[in-house]
Amino acid sequence: MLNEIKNTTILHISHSMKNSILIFLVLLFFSCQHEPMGKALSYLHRVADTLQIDRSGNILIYTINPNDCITCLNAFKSFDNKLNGNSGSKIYVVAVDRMIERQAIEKQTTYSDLQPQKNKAVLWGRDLFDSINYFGGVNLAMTMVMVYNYQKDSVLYSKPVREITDMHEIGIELEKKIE
Amino acid sequence: MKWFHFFWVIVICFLCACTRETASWSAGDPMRVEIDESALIIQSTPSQIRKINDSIVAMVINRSQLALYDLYTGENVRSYSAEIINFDSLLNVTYNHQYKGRRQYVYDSSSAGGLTDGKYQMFTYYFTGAQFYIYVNAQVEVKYIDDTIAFKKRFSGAQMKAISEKYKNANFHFMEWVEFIFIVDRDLKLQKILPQYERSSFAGQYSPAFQSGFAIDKTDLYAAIAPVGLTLGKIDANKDTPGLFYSIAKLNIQDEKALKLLFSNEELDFSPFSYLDRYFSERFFKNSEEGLLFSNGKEIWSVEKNTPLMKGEKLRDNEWINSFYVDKEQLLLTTYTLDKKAYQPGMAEGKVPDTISSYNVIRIDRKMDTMALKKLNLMDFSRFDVDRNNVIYVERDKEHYYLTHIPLNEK
Repeated sequence: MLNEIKNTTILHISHSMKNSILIFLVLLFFSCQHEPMGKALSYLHRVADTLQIDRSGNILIYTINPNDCITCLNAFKSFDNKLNGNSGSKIYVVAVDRMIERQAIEKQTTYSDLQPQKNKAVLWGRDLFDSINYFGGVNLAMTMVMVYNYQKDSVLYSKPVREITDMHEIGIELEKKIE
Repeated sequence: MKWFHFFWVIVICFLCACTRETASWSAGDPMRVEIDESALIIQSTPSQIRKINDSIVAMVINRSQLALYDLYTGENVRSYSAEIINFDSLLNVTYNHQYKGRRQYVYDSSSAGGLTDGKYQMFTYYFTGAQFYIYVNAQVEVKYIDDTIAFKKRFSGAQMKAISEKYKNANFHFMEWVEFIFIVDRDLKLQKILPQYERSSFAGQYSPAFQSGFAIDKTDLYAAIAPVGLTLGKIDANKDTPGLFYSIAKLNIQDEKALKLLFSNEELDFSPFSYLDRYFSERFFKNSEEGLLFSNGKEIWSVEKNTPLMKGEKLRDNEWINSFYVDKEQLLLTTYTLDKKAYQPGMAEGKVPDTISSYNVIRIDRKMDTMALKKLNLMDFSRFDVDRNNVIYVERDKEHYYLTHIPLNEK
């Protein structure tokens, strides 16, 4: 009798343990992020994750060095003005660390687009600027234009503004549908 | 006894050798003060640092102001900004008057200043002891009313030809830099503005590169020059052709026709210069006991005597001068060394600027022809000045900029 009770108890505990282990594994599986098999997410993907923007379409990214050449900054303003009709999300990254400098630029600039809005994030930081430029293939402090697809975690277009001769190529990449 | 005498001869010789006085040189520890930003916030590393007297250092801040700082307290003593200048009016009395009937220059603040709608850029200056001569430029639109030659020149480059072929009915807006030299006194009060129009004497071969460096000696104006008709690629391909190109021009602030080209590739050795070195090496002038001197980043020459004070062999292959001081006894140099970037994704090979790997102070004893070197513990890019007593530069950390000087002592 005692043996039967013992065996039943052991069987019951064994089933419970198996169920517990099974439940634990299921919970573990669903707690992990869905990542493409064999590919770690990029730094840019992690940055975009933290922003309140629509990530379903292609994202226009500007990395801006306020000390870049005047022609480069004028080109950036011109592109931004022309591409403003595009309803997709935008990320602006300004290469400034210190709050005192950021406040000086915000006070002095008559360029209104350095304010966050719906589907538009404005980020400040030199390290961030360098990292995103590097992800876009350039290891220099240049003002850049990029088109980024969040779903595929890939850069579709990336060029320093000083090298862009035809703005339409940016528009084409923004409209691209990635399967 | 013979041994005894011999021993004393040796001792006496040794003592005589030890009692000979030899001068030695040392560089002290960096002394750093935080730069006062209460009136002027620094947004990038200041350029052209120059000590103008025992305690005052001049610097160009944010490409827009000439500012004077106390070397020992970091206090911003005073600064000059051209913000009060009405560039519209300035253009009307200068460029639009000069080119009346042929061109019209149109000033627009939104294109003149980048993000901040500033009016102009300030790059370099030259201090004569009594006045500052400051180079200022602004980007404006130019309309060619009746200047066919200049208009056609705009379409002579391959890129413009391709664009005009592709967009046959395009409306082009041409932007150009208008250039001035502002003269301010020691109190930074504006005295005069000298427009720098195109000089026909260059015959389209060169243009002045004031932003690289210039100097004033009474009415003589010395300027670094950039080739226009001669491309850098062609210079590179033919760098051994004597007299192929020149480094500086001697102009005159009162006579726009005066021109003498100086320091050709026959005199200065450009063999260590890569394609990019020609753009990025420091070219500058400094005054000294021996008159006006010029450096192309590798050598130092007397402008008046047209003779070298120092040739490039004194430096390593990847080492470049960014400031110097000369007197009868010594040459003091601040130099930087470059790491060559072999490849950078997205950039054409050979067109990527190198990175700075270290900064050094070098003393060359002109009589003994000996060298002493001190490596500086500096990680970020900076500008330097050096005189008999100090090396001066700017450092920064996450929150502040600092004015640093290293005392130089001769024992």
